Amino acid sequence: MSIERINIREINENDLNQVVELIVRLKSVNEELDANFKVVNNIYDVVTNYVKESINNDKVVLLVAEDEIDKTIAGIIRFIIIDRLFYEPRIKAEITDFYVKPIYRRKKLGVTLLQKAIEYAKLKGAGIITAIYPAGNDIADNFYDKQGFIPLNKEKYKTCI
Amino acid sequence: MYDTGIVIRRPTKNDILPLSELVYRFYAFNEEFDSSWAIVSNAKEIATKIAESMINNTNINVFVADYDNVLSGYIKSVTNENPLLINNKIEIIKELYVKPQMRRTGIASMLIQKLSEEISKSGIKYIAVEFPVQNWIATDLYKKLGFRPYSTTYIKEV
Repeated sequence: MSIERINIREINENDLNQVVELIVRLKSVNEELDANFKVVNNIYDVVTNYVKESINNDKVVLLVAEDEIDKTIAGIIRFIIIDRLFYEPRIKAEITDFYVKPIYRRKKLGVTLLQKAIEYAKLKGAGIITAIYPAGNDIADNFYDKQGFIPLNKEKYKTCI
Repeated sequence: MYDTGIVIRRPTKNDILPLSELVYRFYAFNEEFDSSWAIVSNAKEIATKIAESMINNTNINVFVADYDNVLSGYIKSVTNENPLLINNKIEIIKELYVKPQMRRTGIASMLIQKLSEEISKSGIKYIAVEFPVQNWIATDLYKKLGFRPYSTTYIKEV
């Protein structure tokens, strides 16, 4: 698998099934890392709606990395534009979903997707870009550390029993 | 010891479907750690065949963790023989998986304990485990269970 033949572009309706599959995989990995991320039984339906809504939401950008030879979607990155209201820079792009198929990894595709997302985020007026993912995801930790991300917020939880 | 309600036993034909789901999950999870573990597109189908082949197979050791008639984990191992070594047989755990919601309940430990008891009967003195080097969850688990680094495998594309 070479990433020279990969084209990064915004999602369209024809990508729906493949993108849903990748986001379901991403959520399933989260479940493996922490039982608090147990996926719902109708995960495919939920993710399908989530992706459809992403396509129609001008605050959301969902980019796909498409293998131009066989039209496989090798990876995706989704971010949402958020107004931080109280803080400068006001506009942030928050990465909510980021997944590269394992077979396409170790080829800098993740870095390329991130760079492309940053370009799109700038066009949307974002001054910063953040990423949100489960605390136990060391793969994501290593990736973002290497890309110069630093901790910004903390989220703690306890069960409501 | 209190009763956890978890029964470690050999799988039967009735376990094929739930066992295949566990096998699939094991591989789908490990592919996340190393691209060389990437699974095929029909992995679920193949996992079913593998689960079928795990029943009554005398070449491998397989145990499942049964909690209230639901399979929550499994272990599969093979015996590696080398007549040149004093310890000429080592049991290698090839697959061990516990469902996320059933983790931290000692199931992995119980599966390994059961396997250890079984192989001891054949005079096997060592048990080892293989998994992707970047799977830190497995690393943490096996360290806690008293395993130490033993063998290293390197890989490169040709």
